[in-house]
Amino acid sequence: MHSSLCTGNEIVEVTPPERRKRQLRCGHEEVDPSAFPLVSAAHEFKTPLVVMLGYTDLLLNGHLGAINQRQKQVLAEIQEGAQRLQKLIQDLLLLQELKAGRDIVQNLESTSVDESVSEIFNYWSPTATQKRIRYQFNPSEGNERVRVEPLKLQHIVSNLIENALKHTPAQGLVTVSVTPCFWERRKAQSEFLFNMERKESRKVENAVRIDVSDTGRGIAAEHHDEIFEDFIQLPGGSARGTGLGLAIARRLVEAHGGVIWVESEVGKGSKFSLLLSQAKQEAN
Amino acid sequence: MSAPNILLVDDEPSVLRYTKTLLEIENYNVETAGSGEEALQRMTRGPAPNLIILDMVMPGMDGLQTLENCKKLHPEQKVVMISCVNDTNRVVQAIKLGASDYVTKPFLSQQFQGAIRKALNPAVLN
Repeated sequence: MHSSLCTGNEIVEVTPPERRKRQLRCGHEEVDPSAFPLVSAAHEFKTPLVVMLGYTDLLLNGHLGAINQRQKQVLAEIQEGAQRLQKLIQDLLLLQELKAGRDIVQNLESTSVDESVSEIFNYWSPTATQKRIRYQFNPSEGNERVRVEPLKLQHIVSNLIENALKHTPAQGLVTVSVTPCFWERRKAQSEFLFNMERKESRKVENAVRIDVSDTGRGIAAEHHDEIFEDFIQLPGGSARGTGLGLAIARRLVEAHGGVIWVESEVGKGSKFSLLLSQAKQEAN
Repeated sequence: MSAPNILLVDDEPSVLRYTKTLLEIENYNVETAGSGEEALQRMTRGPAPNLIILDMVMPGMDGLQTLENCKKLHPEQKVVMISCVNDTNRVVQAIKLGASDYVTKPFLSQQFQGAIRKALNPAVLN
């Protein structure tokens, strides 16, 4: 069960829900030898896209002569299809790299969570405006930092925001929040410390939680685990995705030593949360 | 002053045609080569182009080998590589071998033109 305290100045304590055990750990799953070698085919997948996206862009921008309105609409459809294909190929390649167990998290940096999340929040702002969705960001009051690959953290949050905006109707609300919290990870090892802390009635904030909430249709409990698997798409939403966004987000979060989960009920919206350990303070 | 001469090297004919279109829109003079070997033959005859745009992945002599060989013939030769986003290691190698810049596929006109202008010496454009 997930429990959290969330009051004024009190430290938030978070216990992520138990997820059913997967047989294979993220990043160590064996690659099916009969699987199409997507990584080595990256070049072959992307080359036709150069031509498709490139020419439609030239035509739409009038570089190859004037076009009429109907032609413009048709070209925009082609462009959208090619962009979906591009996204699918990128997601498939990234997923294959993650599944191949490569050390995909390499260049860790101490990163300000508020700044990083704010950047991605702003990136999706025009989409929220276009869809007439209310869109809010609640940064934390401190300057919590995590050791991550900054672009990968943004990729994770971007996937969550994109999903929230996709599944929220006009006039709905999508909220992105950053909250420092206490995360009890290694109970046995730190029992001594925790006993001391409990005795002192003080828990040290050691993690950051990022929440992306929406007022969409919600997700039934039986789907809460499977939506983080590959190629799972639930019905509804304003646009089809690749079915890989959450699978990739989960693998990236876990590669950073974090956890990700959803709280949702049908008809009551969803809240996707991820927890990451805070970076240790550098000695001055 | 005549327009800059650009040698475009890619084994994929459709990409050669598209990229040539992009360059001719900006009034560059464009030659094409369908392989690293063909590019090298071109480099041994006639004056060196102002810029080579070189695909990273080609059968036979690949982009890095072609880059290295072109630089041996003309050490000051400007080269822009075209790569896939997964080619990070190869891009780093290309920069070490003397490539001026790189563009990742799929690229659009604005991004591509920016890289070309940046690579070409402003003195040439003037």
